[in-house]
Amino acid sequence: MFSAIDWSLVAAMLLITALAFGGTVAVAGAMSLAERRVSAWMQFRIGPNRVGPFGLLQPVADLIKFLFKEEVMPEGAHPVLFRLAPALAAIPAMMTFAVVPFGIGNVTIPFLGIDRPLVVANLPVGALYFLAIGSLGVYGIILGGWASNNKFSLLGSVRSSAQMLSYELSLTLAMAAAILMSGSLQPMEIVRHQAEHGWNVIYQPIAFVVFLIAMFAETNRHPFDFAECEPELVGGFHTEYSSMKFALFFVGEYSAMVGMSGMITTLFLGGGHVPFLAIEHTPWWLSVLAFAVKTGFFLFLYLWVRWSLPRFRYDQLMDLGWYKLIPVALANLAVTGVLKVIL
Amino acid sequence: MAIQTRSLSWMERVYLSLLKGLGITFRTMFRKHIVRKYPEEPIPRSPITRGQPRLAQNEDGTTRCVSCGLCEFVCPAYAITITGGETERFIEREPKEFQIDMLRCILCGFCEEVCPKEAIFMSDELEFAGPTRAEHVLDKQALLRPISKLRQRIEFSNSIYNRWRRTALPADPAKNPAGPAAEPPVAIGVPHTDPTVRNAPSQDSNKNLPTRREP
Ligand code: SF4
Ligand code: SF4
Repeated sequence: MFSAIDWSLVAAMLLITALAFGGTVAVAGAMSLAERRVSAWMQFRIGPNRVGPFGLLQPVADLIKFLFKEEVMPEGAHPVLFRLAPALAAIPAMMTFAVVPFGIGNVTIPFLGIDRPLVVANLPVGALYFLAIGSLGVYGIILGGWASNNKFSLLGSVRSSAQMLSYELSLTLAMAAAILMSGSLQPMEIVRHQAEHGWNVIYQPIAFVVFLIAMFAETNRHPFDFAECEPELVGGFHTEYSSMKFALFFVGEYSAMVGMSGMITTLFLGGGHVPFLAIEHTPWWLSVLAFAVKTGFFLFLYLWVRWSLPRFRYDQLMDLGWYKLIPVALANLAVTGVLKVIL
Repeated sequence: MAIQTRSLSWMERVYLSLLKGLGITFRTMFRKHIVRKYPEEPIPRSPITRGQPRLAQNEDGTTRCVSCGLCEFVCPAYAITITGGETERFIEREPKEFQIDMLRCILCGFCEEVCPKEAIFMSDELEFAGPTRAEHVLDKQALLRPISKLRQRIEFSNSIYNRWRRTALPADPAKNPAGPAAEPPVAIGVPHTDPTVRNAPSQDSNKNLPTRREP
């Protein structure tokens, strides 16, 4: 049985996994710096520029600082859940990127001579996997807020769970419209369909906008960051967290942003497809670059929106989710389905 | 007061006007920042800057202080400690030791104001940090600054304090060759022209103050 294992295939998969995982975490780290630099530029400031050239080593310095900070556990906190929550928030967020194709077509890995698609797991139900794993992240936030025995934390996590549940619906409906267009749940297939028939953002602008808005709410980012909501809830669900646990929540948030940006690129902007270039003629590195540029734009959008718009009120958030986004997404899905059958 | 409201426009109701805000922040990203990179770009200082007190040193390296003890006496924070001593110079007395505990000093400037010999001045030195307490107790050697460095502050403080002085004290070079005449000429009795000083108190400025009534 063991002799049947193709070790070079295992090595190739490990290599791609390491690339994707390392890339996600590295980008998450870079985002913590980018957040501060971009916010500074938008406020006539400079931002962190002391550690390394242009402050590029700031995330490393932050990591070292977090490692050496004291861990504080509040009295009455649930010892197991309190420790478990940060991991529960971070790990699903990092796992979502597994099904996002970060390029188009296959790459031949040097020395191994193996052809692999540019995705960690080319699941036939990749879109479902993304939704399922992505929504696990809310457990980390709920448990973190509940286990730390703090009113503000609990309020933050209750808000965030209500928010993520309501926006998950619009997210799924918008995603369903994109899936209907290509007739497959496999992200690679969705990308290929878009490369051949044009990007979904052209055919599904409404689904794109709904997905974009729901994506901000799903990752608990401004203007929907009710889980943290500093002026009202101190720090929200992570009020009581310190040291590496706090850092894990952060890495989880940024990884979720990377995963979401990758997913919206895959669903609506043709993934690694370079405009006016057929798949067969696209070298693998160019498609990876195209994917990185598109994802980078959405990552920048996250920061851009955060430092421009005020936070919604909580009832406005629910109003927008249930009364506006879900009906719009449902109608869009119905119209898409009918047109798909007729045409 | 009634709150003024205005009905939202179509753009605002569908949140399209959010794009306007995004545009503003995006444009700001490419504008010049307004931050001074502090340690590399020092803070501009004018004579009015009241930094840490320093002792003035004559061109020949001697102290101007005659250890009269007025500043030690007037200091509200008891920051100054003087050990008097004698000297062969004309001024006869000079401090053997002169300490200012910068951790006590509140930078009030009384010592500068009270000094009869123009020997202690509020310099423009502002930086003040260190890991131990001992290094903030400055001794005479650490306090002495060449008078040329304090020139601007001396002129400025004279222009301030001399407004209350009726007559300027003339220096007599014949009588006093090593003393005040050898000092660099300092403008005395010149009204200040520094535009940063406004509403300086005049002699009868407390006429308008409400008088406090005893119970
Ligand atoms: S500035 Fe004020 S507190 Fe400081 S040494 Fe002079 S008199 Fe004392
Ligand atoms: S008041 Fe002036 S002269 Fe007198 S001890 Fe102080 S610094 Fe010296």
